[in-house]
Amino acid sequence: MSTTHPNANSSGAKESIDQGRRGFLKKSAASALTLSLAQLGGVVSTTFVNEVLAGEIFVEYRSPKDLYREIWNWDKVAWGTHTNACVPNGCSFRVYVKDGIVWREEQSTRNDASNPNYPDYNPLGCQKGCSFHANLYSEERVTHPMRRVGPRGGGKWDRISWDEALTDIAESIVDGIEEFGPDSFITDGAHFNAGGVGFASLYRFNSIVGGVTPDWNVMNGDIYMGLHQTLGKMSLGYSADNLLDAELIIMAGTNWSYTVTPLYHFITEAKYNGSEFVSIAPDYSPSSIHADYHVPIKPGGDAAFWLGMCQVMIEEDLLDREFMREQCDLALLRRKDTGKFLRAPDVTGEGRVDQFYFWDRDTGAIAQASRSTLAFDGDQALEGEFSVALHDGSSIIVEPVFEGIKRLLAADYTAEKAGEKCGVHASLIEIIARKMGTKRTLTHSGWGGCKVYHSDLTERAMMLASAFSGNWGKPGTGQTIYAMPADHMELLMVMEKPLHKGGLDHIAEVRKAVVANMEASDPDVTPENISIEMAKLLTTRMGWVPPAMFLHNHCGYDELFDKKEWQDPALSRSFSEYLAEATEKGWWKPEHLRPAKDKEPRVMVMCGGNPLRKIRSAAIMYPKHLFPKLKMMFAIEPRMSFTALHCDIVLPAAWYYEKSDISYTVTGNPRFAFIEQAVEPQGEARKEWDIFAALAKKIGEVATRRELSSYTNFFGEEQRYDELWKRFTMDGYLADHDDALAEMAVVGSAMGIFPKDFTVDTLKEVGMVEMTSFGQGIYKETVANEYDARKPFYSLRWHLDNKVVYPTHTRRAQFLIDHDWFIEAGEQLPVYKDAPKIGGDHPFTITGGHPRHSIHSSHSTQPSLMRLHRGQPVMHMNDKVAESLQIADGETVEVFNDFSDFKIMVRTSPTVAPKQVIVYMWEGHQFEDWKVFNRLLIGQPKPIQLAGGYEQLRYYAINGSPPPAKDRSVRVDVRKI
Amino acid sequence: MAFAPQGASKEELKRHSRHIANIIDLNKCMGCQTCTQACKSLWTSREGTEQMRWMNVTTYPGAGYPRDYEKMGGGFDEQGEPSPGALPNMSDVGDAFKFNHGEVLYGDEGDKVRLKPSTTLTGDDPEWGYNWDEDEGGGEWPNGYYFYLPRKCYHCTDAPCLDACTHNAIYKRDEDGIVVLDQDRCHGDRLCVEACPYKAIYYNPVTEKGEKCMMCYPRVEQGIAPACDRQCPGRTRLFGYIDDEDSDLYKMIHVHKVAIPLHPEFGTEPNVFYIPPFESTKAFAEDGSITDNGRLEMNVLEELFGPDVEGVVRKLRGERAKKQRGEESVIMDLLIGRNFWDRFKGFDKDPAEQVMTFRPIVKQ
Repeated sequence: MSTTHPNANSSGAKESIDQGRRGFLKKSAASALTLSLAQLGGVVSTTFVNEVLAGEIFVEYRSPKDLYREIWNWDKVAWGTHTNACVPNGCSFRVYVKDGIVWREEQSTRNDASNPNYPDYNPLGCQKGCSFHANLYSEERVTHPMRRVGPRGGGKWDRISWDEALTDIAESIVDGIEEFGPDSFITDGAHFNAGGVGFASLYRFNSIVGGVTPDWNVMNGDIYMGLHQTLGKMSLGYSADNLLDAELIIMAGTNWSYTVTPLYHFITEAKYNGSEFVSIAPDYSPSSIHADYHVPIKPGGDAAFWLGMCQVMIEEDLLDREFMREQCDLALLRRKDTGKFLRAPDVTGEGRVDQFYFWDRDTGAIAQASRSTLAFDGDQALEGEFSVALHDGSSIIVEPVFEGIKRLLAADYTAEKAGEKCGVHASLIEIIARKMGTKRTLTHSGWGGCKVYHSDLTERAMMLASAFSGNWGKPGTGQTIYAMPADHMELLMVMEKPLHKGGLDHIAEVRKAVVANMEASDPDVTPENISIEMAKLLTTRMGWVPPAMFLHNHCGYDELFDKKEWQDPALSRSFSEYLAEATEKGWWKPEHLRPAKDKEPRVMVMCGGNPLRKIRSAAIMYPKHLFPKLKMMFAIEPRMSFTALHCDIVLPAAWYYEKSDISYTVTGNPRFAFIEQAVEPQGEARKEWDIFAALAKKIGEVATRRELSSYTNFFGEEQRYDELWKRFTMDGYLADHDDALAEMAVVGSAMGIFPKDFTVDTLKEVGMVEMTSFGQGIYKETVANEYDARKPFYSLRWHLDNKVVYPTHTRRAQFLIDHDWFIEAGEQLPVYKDAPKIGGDHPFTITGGHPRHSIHSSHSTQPSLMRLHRGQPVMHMNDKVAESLQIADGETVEVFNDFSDFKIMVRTSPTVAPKQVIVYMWEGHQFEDWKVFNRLLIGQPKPIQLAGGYEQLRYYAINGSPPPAKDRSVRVDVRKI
Repeated sequence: MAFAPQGASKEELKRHSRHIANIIDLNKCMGCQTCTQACKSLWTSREGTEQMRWMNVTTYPGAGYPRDYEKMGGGFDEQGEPSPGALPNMSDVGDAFKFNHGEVLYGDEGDKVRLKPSTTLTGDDPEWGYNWDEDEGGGEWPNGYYFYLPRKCYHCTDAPCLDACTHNAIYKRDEDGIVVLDQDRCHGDRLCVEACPYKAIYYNPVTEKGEKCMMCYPRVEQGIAPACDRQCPGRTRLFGYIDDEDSDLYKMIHVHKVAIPLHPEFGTEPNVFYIPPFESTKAFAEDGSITDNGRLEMNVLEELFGPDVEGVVRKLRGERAKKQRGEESVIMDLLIGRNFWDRFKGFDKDPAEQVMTFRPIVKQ
């Protein structure tokens, strides 16, 4: 709700001013509060100050009429937040407006605790949010449509009209469709730095046109392949106050003090509440400084650490055997001859290949492992070896999976051996293992951890340690990963009709057909299996594709991915060969390989993303391989990003505070915040929804003028050019941004993520709302626990309490992956492997991640935030190592590997590991010659993650498929200039 | 206090009926600089103030802010006599870098020009600035260490800046003891800056006056906690009247005595207190094995907080150990501060709801 202050500009207020004040005001009023953009919230002009000071005013001490009281005032207060590129996001702010300019913002601090036994979420916000008004008025704002003049990235622009810009773009889109069909239209997958409605509009437009979008989340690498392999899912939501219930917190590959600033206090408060905090990080990171124990892991060495812990738990008998038997595949029988599971066809000559067996010690015989429940009325053996008769009369020796793991651990992962592999002293592995084996333990492997080459092995090993110690599905435990119920945004991408006209009916019909189909082939199909199948279908329909294949087929990355010396030496074939085999076997279908190889991208839209900065080595590969194919590259951006600088046309987008919006949530911070339009968009900026609607209309006009009526999309459907606008806007029902926002609120309410009967008007009143459920999407099943806003939340409870099976091949948390490719790679069980020397044989590994003072690159070049540090990119380096190379703090060096190089200033510290260099994210044009650091990261995807034909090895939106973002152990060297 | 002409008694200027105070918990601070930004947006975005960070956070060990302030003198010596002090320069106070966005984004130069900072005074590449040594710290790998140290004006009971001002421009407010620098009386001679051992007073070269943290008194007098305190996402802060016996702040300072001032040896009786870092990450031994000792040596803390810190550290360690054994600890519960508003007793009002009684400056 805008609270225009009742006193502002009212005569009533003047009357309340005493005589002395009147005198003061008279002297100062002429120039008071004449705000200009240049002052950026500076509030009071110098002239004003000088006039006050020069005035013949009698000022008594403690006079209320002074400079600072004059500053402390405003005209209007609006709600605000900064969604959705930021995770956790959803921090509710108050935005203070003076004379039509956003002066400052402050957290609304209306966040309740789940209940009084836990800390509340106040004040919830960070330095980026608290200075966003400076982004709004920064010189880097795009305020008018612009067309590139001269070479790409040359920095020379012509200001053009909206109509001219949209016509140019529409012509190119039509050209592309006529040449290669709508697969020629590529939407750069963006996490979006400008809001929820805009996010929905980007993907809705792509879907309506029939374009292709490489999955943004997989592209970013924010994906836990090892969790998928183990649990069949990764989004294990939690609320931050669940940390208070933990006795031990182990965080790996993450740096919450930089990246989860608003929720960091739950860690320090959990410590006060008696929990111990362990930080696993190559460097003594800005979050490690609050740890009781720092594990200075060799980059990528984590799997060895966890496996060493597992071995200590075995040696010291700290195992939760009941948990291991019931929740995991550890008691399932495995053939000693093949190393694969014992399956129904082995035993009976028929039956399902995903029917497995236990050894029941009560009966002394094998027993079928139920596919519908984890409950077992018997006594599964975890150890021993047994003889089993096969259907052909022969007999073989089998053993529970745990037996093989025990052998493996005893041979290779004693604390000493594991310690050698991961660079951690055995004594530290032992002490943490003893704690984990006896304490309620919460683990968190961050989005840095999942970007090392063998991160799947890390996660499988972490889960093994969690299974051994019985640490999931209970309060104060779990893997602490985000679940993001966002039905309100996602459905707006796919609905064909408004909600009140049955907009969800066709989705319900599809679901019905899916259920019937699945139940026909499997009587034990679970709600979670169905949700996953639905997610796959919607993913395909929206044109989302696994990004590694897009990069491989269209952006020249095959030359990087196929470099044998940059891949795991255990693999016999190249990435291209694995991809070909996987395609031939039908694991990857044409819908995953769009655009097909015989088509070319012609138009690419960047909206709320910055691919040249984000995608590993795109700063080299895109200009070399992709740009020549593109006839049009346009950006819809509030700020001139590194990628926008390289575009043909840049369209100005409205930013936060210039449009109303709703954030999404991650369970870490389980609430949705509201943005209320506080000021008009800068210059000619428009809201994204409105831009895409106008573009859809323009495409129709252009096609009509060119006497083109329709085209065929990927699904073989005929689409009329002149109906694109109608379809985008639901026949005019969602004609503009505010219409879309209203529908979004109604959808969120109908799906149960917002309270019943919730609307935009309700949000305007209250500014934010607590999440009420995980909605009707996939997360409801993934998290496997009812959501109650008055309790801390943790995932996977239904598996423990209700014995619900997991969505994996064995329907259990699975540590043996007996897929042929995994066996070939020696990864059928969790093991540690050295990362390949991606980038060449160089002495340093480069690590990094999200910076402290920016969300990705959104704030990297915002002056007020740049003044909080050196104002330019720095690389952190060990002080002694730098000294030995005669490199001083503050010196600029060259960093290079076999692929590329960049220059950067060095900052030295004894908290950086000797063989490590750290570069957090920076914007491309902050580097000399614009050689952004990402250019040498390559992002090598792991080929065996192309495996399929095995329940949990699958792709659907933001899940599965090899992420081309494995950059945390890339090799580099440093050269003094 | 009341009006005091030049040359009047300093005692009168220091007189106050009540006093507010702060506690900052260093075990919770993550160095995010939200407090810095909260303050800057509100008070120091005006011309002439851009280089000031009334609220600031730096990495300790490190040069601090202003750079090397601890070596610049000021305060009182052991006999209670004022010590001479030096003045920090523009670079020491962190500068306010200029950037070349226009040239880079629209300058027709392409990748020949990169976006970079330059110093305010000379336009050169900066060699120092605010928070320049962020995350560097001390010690040696693998036992490197640091913590973040947020600082602001300490609103000292025995404020040396107040004594030093020859124009009686600095005084303590009667109702809350906040130290205010009167812009009308200030002549800009910066004696106060020299006198302040914490170097918490800054020079505005445009108005040619001193300016400093005034504890957000326009907020405080409306019952709203200072911006840096209320906006701190780490929940490091408590604010309130130091004599409010029902407050968590009072209990920590006076009952449990776990909050102590920075550099008590400066002799100024600061009113911003710290919960010292009491348990640092375990250190590795020479042979690489893990020990049970923290990395942070007591002498590092004693240099900052004086000899009393050892007792505080011992007490806090004992209290956390109780929690780890599943026992109750009143002190740990106070430090958790489950209810955010308990940390700001009497100052929990919402600024967005404030009635702007002094707002209307209407152009005439």
